[in-house]
Amino acid sequence: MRIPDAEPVRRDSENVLPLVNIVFLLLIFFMLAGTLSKPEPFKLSPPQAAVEATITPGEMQLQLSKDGIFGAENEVLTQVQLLEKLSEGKVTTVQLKADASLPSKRLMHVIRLLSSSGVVDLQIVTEKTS
Amino acid sequence: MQAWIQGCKPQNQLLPSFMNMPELERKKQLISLTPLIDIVFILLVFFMLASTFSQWSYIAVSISEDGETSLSVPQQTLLGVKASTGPLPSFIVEGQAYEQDVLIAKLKQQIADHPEHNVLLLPEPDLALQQLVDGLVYLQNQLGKNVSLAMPQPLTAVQTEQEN
Repeated sequence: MRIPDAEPVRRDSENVLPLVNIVFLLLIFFMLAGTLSKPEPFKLSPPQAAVEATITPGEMQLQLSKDGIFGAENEVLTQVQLLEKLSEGKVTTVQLKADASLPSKRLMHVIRLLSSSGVVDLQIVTEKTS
Repeated sequence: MQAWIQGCKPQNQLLPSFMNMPELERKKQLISLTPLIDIVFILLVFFMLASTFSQWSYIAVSISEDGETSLSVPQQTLLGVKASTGPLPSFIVEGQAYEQDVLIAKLKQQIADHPEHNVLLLPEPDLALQQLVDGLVYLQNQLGKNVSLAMPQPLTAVQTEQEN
């Protein structure tokens, strides 16, 4: 039986081409399908709810840990700093991203604090469930 | 991609004779895919780590101007929510706990009798936010009406809006 001549040795770079193709596809998928997550100063797991209203970017987002620690724009804020920030920017709409295990007495305290500093529209951020 | 690489291969027979210089061939071989792949890998890892797929929604709570709107009990239906470990919080109205079906029927009756009344939800102090949100969404879906959040001590009401 005649064995055909072996093909000439292919270049190394050609062997990785399928890999590069897959990596390119993955890259494009993650670039298009994902949105860059905003950095947060501490770990948060917001409550889940099946509501339709999708948050609009651009409003001031305030993070609130379950121990009542405030954060905004990747910084931990004290209550005084938070009040200064709110009054300085004349903020009227706040997105509150609070931990799911936050006790409601702390939430009520924060709502009272925000309302006293001129916030009229508060959005409690929830993670969308299907 | 394959075709593109093929196209990039030196095709000496197509080149003019003066371009068949040894330096040129060496340069062509030096161009390798490896740095490109490195960069693409780094970009891929960056986007995988930095991107998130969770979608965020919100429950709107509009705070009244003075923040101290006192609750006039005759015009409102007060609803206490007790912390519980179940999937939905249990509800207490006027000191009495109701089963959810009975409660919804009772509230619907009250709303039918007095359409101008608001439903106020008064959370227990240690109720977790997840359960509060569950309770709000449940009541809003069942009643088809906005449910306000009542503030304990001093009794203040803030309005939550149902977004459709």
